Amino acid sequence: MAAAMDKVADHHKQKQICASRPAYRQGRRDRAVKVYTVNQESRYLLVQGVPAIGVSEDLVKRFALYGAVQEYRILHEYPAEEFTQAYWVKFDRLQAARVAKRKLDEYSFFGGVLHVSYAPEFETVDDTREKLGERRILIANKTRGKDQRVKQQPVSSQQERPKVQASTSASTSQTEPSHGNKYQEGFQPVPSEVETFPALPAPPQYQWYHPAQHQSQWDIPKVASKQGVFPVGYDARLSVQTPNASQSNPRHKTPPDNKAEDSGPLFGPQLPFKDQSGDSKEGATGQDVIRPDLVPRQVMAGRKRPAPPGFFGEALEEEKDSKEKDEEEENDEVQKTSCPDTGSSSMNRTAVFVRQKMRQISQTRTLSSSGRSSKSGSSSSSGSSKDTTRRRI
Amino acid sequence: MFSSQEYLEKKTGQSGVGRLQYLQSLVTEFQDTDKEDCKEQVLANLANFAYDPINYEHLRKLNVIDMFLDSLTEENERLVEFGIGGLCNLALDKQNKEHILANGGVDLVIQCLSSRNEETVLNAITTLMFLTTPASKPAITRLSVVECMLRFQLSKNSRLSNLATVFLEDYCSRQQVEEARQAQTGDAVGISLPAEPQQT
Repeated sequence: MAAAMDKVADHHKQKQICASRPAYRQGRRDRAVKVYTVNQESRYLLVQGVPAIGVSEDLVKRFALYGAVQEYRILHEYPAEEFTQAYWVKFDRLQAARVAKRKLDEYSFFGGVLHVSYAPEFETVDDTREKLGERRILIANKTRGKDQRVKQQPVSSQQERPKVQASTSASTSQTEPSHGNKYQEGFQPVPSEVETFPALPAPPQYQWYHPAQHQSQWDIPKVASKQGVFPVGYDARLSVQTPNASQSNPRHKTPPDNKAEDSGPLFGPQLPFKDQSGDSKEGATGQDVIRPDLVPRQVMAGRKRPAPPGFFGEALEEEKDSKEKDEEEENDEVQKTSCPDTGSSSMNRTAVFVRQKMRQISQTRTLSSSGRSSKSGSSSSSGSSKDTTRRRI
Repeated sequence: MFSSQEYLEKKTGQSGVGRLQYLQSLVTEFQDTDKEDCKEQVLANLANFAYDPINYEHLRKLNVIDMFLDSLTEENERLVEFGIGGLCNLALDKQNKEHILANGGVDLVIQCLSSRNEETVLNAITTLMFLTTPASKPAITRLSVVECMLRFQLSKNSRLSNLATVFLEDYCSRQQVEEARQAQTGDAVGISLPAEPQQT
C-alpha cells in the first residue's frame, strides 16, 4: 500500500479536542468528537511520536502489558516528526489492542508523547471477517442473557444470522495460525523498504495476564482504575535492584528483593554499607547509582526510635556495658542473617530488630523497677535480677 | 470492554446522575439546541454509547434509534457519519434490528453508500451486513447494491475492499454476484465511490 503511505490517512491524524462541551457532559479526559465502531477498531495499531533513541524493546514491553503482541515494525517510510518514529504493532486480540490504545494514547514515553491510533487498513480480508464475527458473538452473548432474564424466552439469534456465523465462530480460534502464514505469503501492506528485524527476539510475552484464570473469554487485562495505566502489581520503574545482581556482588550486604516491599515502619531504605561507595556506579548491570551517604529526610524525620546499630554503615563498637553486649550479639545475628550467602531478606532483619527492641524495652523496665545501680540484686528485686543476671551471661 | 451494572452504580455514586437520566438529558439537548456543533457532539456521544449493549434498553426507550435514522437524511455530513456509526454499533441486537427494519432503515443505509465520507460508507456496509435476516436479505442484496460492492472491491482503499469482499463472499449468493458482474460490463449507472485521498 505505497499509496497509503505517501499520504497520511485521516484516521491516523489526531483530531482537535472539543472545547465547547457544556459542563454536564464534559468527561475527565479531553477528547475530540469521534465515533468508534467495529470498523474503526482493529488489532493493528499505529504508534507515532516514539523518540528515535533505540527504545523498541521498551515500547513493545509496554504494549505487551495489555496483551500478546504478535508482531511489530518500525515504519521508516511513514512521515514522522523529526527525531521520532512511527511503529506498527499487531496484537493477538482486538480487546488487547483496544485497552492498549486507550491507555497509551497521549502517554509520555522517554520524552515523547505517544499518539496511538488504530490501523484497520493493514487487516486482511480474513482479519476483517473475524473481527466482525467476534463482534456478533459478543453482542449475542450480552443480549442473550438479558433476553432470557427479561422475557424468559430462549433467544436464538443465530437462526437469523446468515451462514457466515457458522464459519466465523468456528474459525475464530483456528484461523489464528493461518493468519500469520497468509500474511507473510501474499499480503504486503507495509512497503518493502521497511526494515525487518531478523535478529530481534519475538515480542515479549509478559504473562501477568493469564487467560486461563478468567472465566469469560472476553475478559481484558485489569488495571487498578479507569485512569490507571499499568496492571495491578506491575512494577513500572525503569531499573530495580534484582536479587540475582545483588547476590553476585558480595559487597551488597542487604539486597532488597523489591523496594516496594516495606520492611515495616521501623526501617528506612536498605542502604548498603559505606565502604561500598567506591563502586557505586554500576553501569554494566544498569543498576541504580548507590549513594550510601544519602538518607532521605523523611526517614530521619519519621524516626522516633534510634536507628539500630549498623544501620548507617558505621562499624559496630565494642561496648563494655553488658546491655550493649546483648545488642552486639543481636547485631552479629543481624549481620549473619544479612549475609547474602544465606539469602537474607529484609523481613528477617525486621524480625530480629523487633525482638531486639522488645528485649531492650523489657530490660529497661526491669532495670528501672529494680534500680540501675543495684547490680548485686536486693531482696525486693531478686526475682527480676535473676532474670537480668541470666541475660548477662 | 463493556460496562457492567455494578460498575455503573459504583461510578454514579449515591447522588449522581444515572445512565438513563444522563442519556435523557443528551436527547433533550439534541432536540432543543440550534447549534450544529452541539448536535454533532451529542449525536457522537450517543453513537459511542450505542457500542455497549448495557445501554440498549435505555436507547430504545428514548427512541434514539429513530434519531439515528433521521440523521441519515441530514445535510451535515458529520451528522450522517455519526448517525450511521450509531446504527452500526447497535444493529446487531435483535430488537434493535427489528426496529430498524420496520422503519425503512435498509433504504436509508443504502443511500449512505453513496456518501463522500469514507467512514460513512464503511459503517454503511457493515450495518447492511448486520441487518441481514432471511426476511431482509433480498432487499439488502439487490442488484444495485451488489454492483456497488463489486466496484468497492476494486478500490485501492483496503478497508473498503476488505468489507466489500466479505459482503460479496458471505452475504450474496454466487448467482447474484454473477448477475451483477454481467450488468456492470454493460451499463455504468449506479452508486459512485467515495472520495479517495489524492496521490502526490
